[in-house]
Amino acid sequence: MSRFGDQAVGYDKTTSMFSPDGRIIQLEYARVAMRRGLLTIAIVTKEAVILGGLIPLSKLLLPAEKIYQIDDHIAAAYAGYTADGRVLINKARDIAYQNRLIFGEEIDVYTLAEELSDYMQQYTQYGGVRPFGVGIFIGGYDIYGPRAVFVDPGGTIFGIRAYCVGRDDEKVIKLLKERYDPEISYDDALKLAVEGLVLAMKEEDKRKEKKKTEYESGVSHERVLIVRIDKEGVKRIPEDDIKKIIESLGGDSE
Amino acid sequence: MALKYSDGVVLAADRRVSINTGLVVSRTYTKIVPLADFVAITVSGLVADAQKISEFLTARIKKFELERRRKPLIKEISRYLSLVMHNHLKSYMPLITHIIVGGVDVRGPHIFFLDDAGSVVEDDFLSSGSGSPIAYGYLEAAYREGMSEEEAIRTAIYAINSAIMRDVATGDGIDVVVISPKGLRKLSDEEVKKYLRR
Amino acid sequence: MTYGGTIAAIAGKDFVLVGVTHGAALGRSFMISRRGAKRMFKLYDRILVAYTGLYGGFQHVNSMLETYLKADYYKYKIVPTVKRVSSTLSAILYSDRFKFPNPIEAIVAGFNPDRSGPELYVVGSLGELIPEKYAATGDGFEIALAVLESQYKEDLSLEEAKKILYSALKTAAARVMTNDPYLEPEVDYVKRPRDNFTFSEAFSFRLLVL
Repeated sequence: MSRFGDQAVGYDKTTSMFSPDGRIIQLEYARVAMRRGLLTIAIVTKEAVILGGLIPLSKLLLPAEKIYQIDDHIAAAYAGYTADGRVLINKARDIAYQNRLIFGEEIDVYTLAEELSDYMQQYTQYGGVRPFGVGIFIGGYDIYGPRAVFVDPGGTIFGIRAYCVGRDDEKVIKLLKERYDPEISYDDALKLAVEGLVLAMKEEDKRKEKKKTEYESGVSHERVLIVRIDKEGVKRIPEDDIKKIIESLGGDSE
Repeated sequence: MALKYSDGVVLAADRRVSINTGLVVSRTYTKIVPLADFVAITVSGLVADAQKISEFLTARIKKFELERRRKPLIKEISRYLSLVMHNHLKSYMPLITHIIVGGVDVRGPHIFFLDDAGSVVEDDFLSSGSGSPIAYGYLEAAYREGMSEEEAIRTAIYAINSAIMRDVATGDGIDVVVISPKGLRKLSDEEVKKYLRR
Repeated sequence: MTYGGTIAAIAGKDFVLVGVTHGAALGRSFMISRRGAKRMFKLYDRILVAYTGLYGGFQHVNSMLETYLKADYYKYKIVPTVKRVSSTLSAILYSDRFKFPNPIEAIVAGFNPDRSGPELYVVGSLGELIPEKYAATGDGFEIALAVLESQYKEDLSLEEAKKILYSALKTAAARVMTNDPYLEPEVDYVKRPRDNFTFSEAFSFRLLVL
């Protein structure tokens, strides 16, 4: 018995060691870090992928990026530790451009995810490193049509219909489960995505009373960032459209 | 040589391999290599390089299919091979061969010409090798867009036949491969003869 | 190996005009082997890049150029100027200076995102970068340049410049065997853009940060 107590102490200190019950505990911490991030959501419809997320808004700081364009036909967003996410975004871009140089064609969404996951997996098997504290959504329009995948900190790939990760994601996932069906129209899906993000903002608001930060709280269309990825490429949904949707949901948009 | 028709491609080649002294080394060599059921290449130049390229490319296509769960586009195959050839040239070890990649993918029929420097040129009809000027002479006059499969095969065979007649390094029979959305088919000698007789 | 082609360009007051002759000859033989060979590319609707020389060389160089510019655009939000395009190209070419210098030359011409310009550069096979008002390179450059030299003047109109460029390229094609005299030269131009460049919708939020 360890003098630190009953727990399998020490196994959470590195990713290169399993705990006796077969877990990589650092990785589970990484997932916690991922879910501390602001909510990120992706929904796939017949014609386009919707990728959205919340951004922190402050009087003192400029709004951050949330969704990154990887290539003409692919965008990515992450939930979790921003600095880690940025590294992955740039890695994803390099992978996408490499494909252009080798095959002269745009990369498949799934192939990009696989190569990115190979990279992320390295950080769960070697010593002296920690895994990425982010989960990354990749949405794109490739030879198969609109597709989206989610790669978690351990490098596991999930093909997506509708999914979200970040603060208060249980509640939003419940909402998605109730409302998503594979035949969903683009407009309904956009509404659903906004609704999910609004739900997350409301939940956050409830907790905000306890804790004050420099970031503004409350439901606001300015905190919502959504892009649509279709045959034409990546397009940002205008703020006014989001504002209208939020208003139609009956939420008070400031 | 290769040419496109309405919904597929026809590849045709002779069977003679010779060395520069004028000796015919082989009279039965097949210069059309199917890489998969939707793509084939024709080779000219050094036989060793061509064979290694075909083997390597067949394996690479298999790997691509397994990795990406789809067939590669003909353009992807061509661009990939061209990069390999270009890198060889850059390291002063060029693969001395000219290749035509032909096949059908989700975007339709495509043929590409690749040279040893790594260029990729897409066209409606292409020819390479010693008899190519003669084949071009026929193709330039006979080719038109949207030919039927039968017309395309006949045009290809006649083009190769003209080269056989006038170029000493071309000869000893004709191989014809037809690739349509349905798959890849190699014509038997009897079929080829039938076209020639007509 | 496939070589050939003459390219020529004129920078006017509010336009740049770039033209190429078709045809790429196999080796140093004089057979026009590749009719479908594309040697002029347009970037962002305001920059034209034309190549001459080893076909397999410049195809890969161009593919690298386009990819690097794309990386600059998405990674660093850099909207390339004509100078940046040509220096990127020159860097690519110089990187092979001591290994295998690609036997190609290029002309890069166009306008900048802030509507300034026109600018015109000739990029040589080792990466040399030379600004010009009008230029010709490639197999028939002596002939094309002779025509340009004798007819070029300041303040040409687009129509006049087109005529000069056509005759330069046609003369070259008529007298240099590696050029295809039976295909019309391909001439393209870009005019001074009407508006300053703005990032597309998808990027607009990023500008707040910059």
